[in-house]
Amino acid sequence: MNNNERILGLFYSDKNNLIFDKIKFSEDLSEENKNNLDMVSYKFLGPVFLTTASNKEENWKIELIESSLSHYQGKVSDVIQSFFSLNSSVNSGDGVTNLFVLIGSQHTEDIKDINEILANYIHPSIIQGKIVNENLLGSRFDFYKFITSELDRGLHLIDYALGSSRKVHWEEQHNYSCVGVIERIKSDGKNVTNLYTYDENEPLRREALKFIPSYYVMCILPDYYETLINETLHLFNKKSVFADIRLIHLNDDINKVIFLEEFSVKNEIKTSYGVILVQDKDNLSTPNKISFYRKNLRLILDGYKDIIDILPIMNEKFKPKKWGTLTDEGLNNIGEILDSINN
Amino acid sequence: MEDMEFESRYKIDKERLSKYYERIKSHDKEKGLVDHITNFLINQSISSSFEEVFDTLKYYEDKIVEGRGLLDLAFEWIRAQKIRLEYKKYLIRAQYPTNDLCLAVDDCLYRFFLSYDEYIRNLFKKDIREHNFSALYEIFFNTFDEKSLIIEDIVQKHIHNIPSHYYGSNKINTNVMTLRQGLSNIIVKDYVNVLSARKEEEVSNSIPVSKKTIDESEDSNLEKIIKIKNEITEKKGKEWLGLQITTENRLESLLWYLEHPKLQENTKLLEEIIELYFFAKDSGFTKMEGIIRKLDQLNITFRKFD
Repeated sequence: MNNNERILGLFYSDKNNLIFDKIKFSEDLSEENKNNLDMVSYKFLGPVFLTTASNKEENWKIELIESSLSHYQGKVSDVIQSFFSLNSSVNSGDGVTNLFVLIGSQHTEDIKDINEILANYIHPSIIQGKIVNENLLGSRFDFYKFITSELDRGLHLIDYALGSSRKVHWEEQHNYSCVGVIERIKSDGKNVTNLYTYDENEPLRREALKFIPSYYVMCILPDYYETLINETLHLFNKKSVFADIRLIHLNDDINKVIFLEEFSVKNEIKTSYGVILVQDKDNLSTPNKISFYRKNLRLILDGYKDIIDILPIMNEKFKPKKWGTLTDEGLNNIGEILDSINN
Repeated sequence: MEDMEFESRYKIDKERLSKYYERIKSHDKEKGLVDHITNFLINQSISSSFEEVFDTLKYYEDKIVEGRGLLDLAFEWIRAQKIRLEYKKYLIRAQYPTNDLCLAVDDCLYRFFLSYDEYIRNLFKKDIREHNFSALYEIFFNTFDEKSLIIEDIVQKHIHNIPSHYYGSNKINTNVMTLRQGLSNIIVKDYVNVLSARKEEEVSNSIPVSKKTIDESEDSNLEKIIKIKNEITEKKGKEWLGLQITTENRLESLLWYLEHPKLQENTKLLEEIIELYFFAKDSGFTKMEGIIRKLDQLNITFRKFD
């Protein structure tokens, strides 16, 4: 895969949720795929809007969605190592705007650097450029022309920054409390998706709701984005790889939530276990480092432990009750019971 | 980026510079603060004329935040040259696809000047208008040789293009637009120069090998040039400790000429420069007269190093 075959898209949504996009197409992409890719921006930004509007005062932002990529057995035609999306959400006074980048690359990529370009340069350029140009040009200001040009510049800047390996940056160490475990099992014709968490009557369940968008949203995100990333890979003709969600970062300026997932494939059954982690909230469970959760997820997937044995290790207050998340009925149940602050 | 982190990244020897400024001040006690600082900057090879520096300092004098002063602004002017040098080194190696000038501007603004903007604003009062910053960037990061940097003209040019915006009584951050206004032309001009230098080099390299007279002395010169380039870039060794900033600047100018494609064609001149460099190095860079004279000659032959 040369640089022209990278997956790269930049999407901007204005305060009215109107979406403008710029996608880098490789030359051999069919017209049909190009047309289908037109909807990609709407699909990727959909949960961003949903999360923002999760009937709470806080504005939740999806910061990062990262998937791990694996080759289907016997197929190694696409050399692609990383697939991730970064989102910058800014409330600039007259509304929230989002700038979302979609990247698939043959390198592991320095995500922090790309995130800083997105959040500190490209997004401010758009917001500030609109203010300055509106002021200078008045009614002659053509927003469509402006945003097309800015997205083009932004796309080129990100494209130029790509092609490096991931660097380890110094970051403050945090502890995390687990507020939910999501189990996803996929085999031909049969999918199972469950949430394990506190009992509905556990006071800590209500307390945890203060620090996450909602259980409903957290249950939707992994499956939604995994399916969407696989669909996107397909549209970009990367047909020898499949994706599994690895990380989702969300924040509401005060709280930070991480969804961390590990997976394994055995006998054509793909099993994934993920944890919903809340940063630095010691009252929700015994806090642990991310590596602790990753290690315990691997213990389940590698068959050393059963999910029921691991649940009290993740959070001593968890109950082995399964909350189905596959159907609308199951999700509504979660929305009505687990997301209720009254019962 | 925190101020201290920024200052250590683009370090200037403030203690040595302060002592030097004190010497200038004590030589001519009758003159005022702005005159002293102007002389100090001119002696640090900042700007090409006394009036330009003097007028710029006068313009920004009342815009500096309480507790800081014109000398701090002067130090920042010197630091700006250090940043410009780093940025030029980066630009010389940059390979922007299709020589995209917008990409060159965006990449350099993001890599070098965004953090600078955050840093330098701490030197000024919070309520000063944006065109003052874009004008400052144009002056701080421009070349000194090509045109006059007259502060009134520059401010007039920026005042209509970079308005300040307020949301209620709060000033809206438009720093990226200010940076683009102040620096886009400079970055484009610098990158175009890089591109033409590369083109000249390509032409020079396309001359058939049979026509070139390769002999042992050329090989030996090449090795010496590489050694000089490494020494000036790395600044390692006892000779570089406590080196005056003017000397350092002169050696960096020499490095710029050594990389000039046209110089490679003039073997005699190359040999003279190599000899002068090692002579100066043997004296711990105290005997710089030969290099200074040669720089003047190179300036006339090629063009001035900025």
